[in-house]
Amino acid sequence: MAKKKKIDEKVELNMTPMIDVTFQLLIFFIVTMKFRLLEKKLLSHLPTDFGLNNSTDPVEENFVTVKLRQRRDKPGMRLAEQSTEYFIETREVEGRTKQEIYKKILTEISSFRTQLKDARGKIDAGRGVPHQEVVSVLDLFHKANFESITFVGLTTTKNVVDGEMWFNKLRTELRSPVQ
Amino acid sequence: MAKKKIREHIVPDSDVELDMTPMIDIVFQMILFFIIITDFSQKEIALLKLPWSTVGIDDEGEDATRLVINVTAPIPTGASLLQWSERKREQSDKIMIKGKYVGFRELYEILQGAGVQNPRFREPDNEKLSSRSVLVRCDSAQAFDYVKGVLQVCASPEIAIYKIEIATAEKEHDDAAGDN
Repeated sequence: MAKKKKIDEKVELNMTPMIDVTFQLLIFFIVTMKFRLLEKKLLSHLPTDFGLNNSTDPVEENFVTVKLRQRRDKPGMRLAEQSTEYFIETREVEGRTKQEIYKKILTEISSFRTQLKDARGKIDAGRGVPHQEVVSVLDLFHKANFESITFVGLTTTKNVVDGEMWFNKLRTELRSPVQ
Repeated sequence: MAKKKIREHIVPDSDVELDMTPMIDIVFQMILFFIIITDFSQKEIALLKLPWSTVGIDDEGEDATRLVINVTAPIPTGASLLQWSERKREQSDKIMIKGKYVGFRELYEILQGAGVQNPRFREPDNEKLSSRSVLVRCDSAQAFDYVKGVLQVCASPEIAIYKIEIATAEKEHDDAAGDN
């Protein structure tokens, strides 16, 4: 009889607390988890040989400049919310839709690229031009096989860092509606 | 014979029990999966609407030393502003690096320590340049002037970070740039 009893009494681990903790962990990870969306990127290298070039480039004729400016025609709207005007050099590119304007720009810069082997692109984005517009123009330059693109209108590092001359003015301009 | 006897004895005595082992196995597998998959670098990434681009390449994020600079969305005006929480308002129009909201001066100071002045991050063939790359994630509605400012700071000789990546999203709309 005694022998039988010993066999019946199995040593059992109480799994409940462990399962509780495990579930807590599982719920924590499920709740805190955010899947990182796969993003895209545009790779670029800043000029390393001359840094910020304050002087005008001597070989100006190699450049085709696309100028972006915010229209200031709608009072009560902030600068970034206004629509963007596009220029190639000083001539405005007009179209009913953005797609039409982009097509015209692409045609022009592509023909410039085919004419000149060492053609370079220049993007002159004015104050308050949204980032999307500049990326779209970068896209166009890429499609037209431009390898070198310059941004116009960079201020000096001191101005950027000190903020008083440049950044505060920019912030005020961007935040207050156009009168 | 003895073994047979024991079995006979156990079967009638035992209650109906659920075998927990497979469930615990699966739960542990799931926990391991979440631990491995959870990307703790997420806090470096602000929630933004990135500009779309048709020529962007996949960002695998393979460079562990890469710095991520976020420029958050502008504060909206009018009716949509009312829907914005105080916290959201505080976080807009800002530059965020390593989970911290900074101005251009602080960004400059952070990058000074992270750029070419740090001997760990110098280009082997050019001591004057930093080998680090910077991913600029700017909201599509934000003014490009911020990106210009960031590029300007990166290009300064004390920092000399020249490898710049501009984060974009995949094409969303049909009115994409120059699509024929």
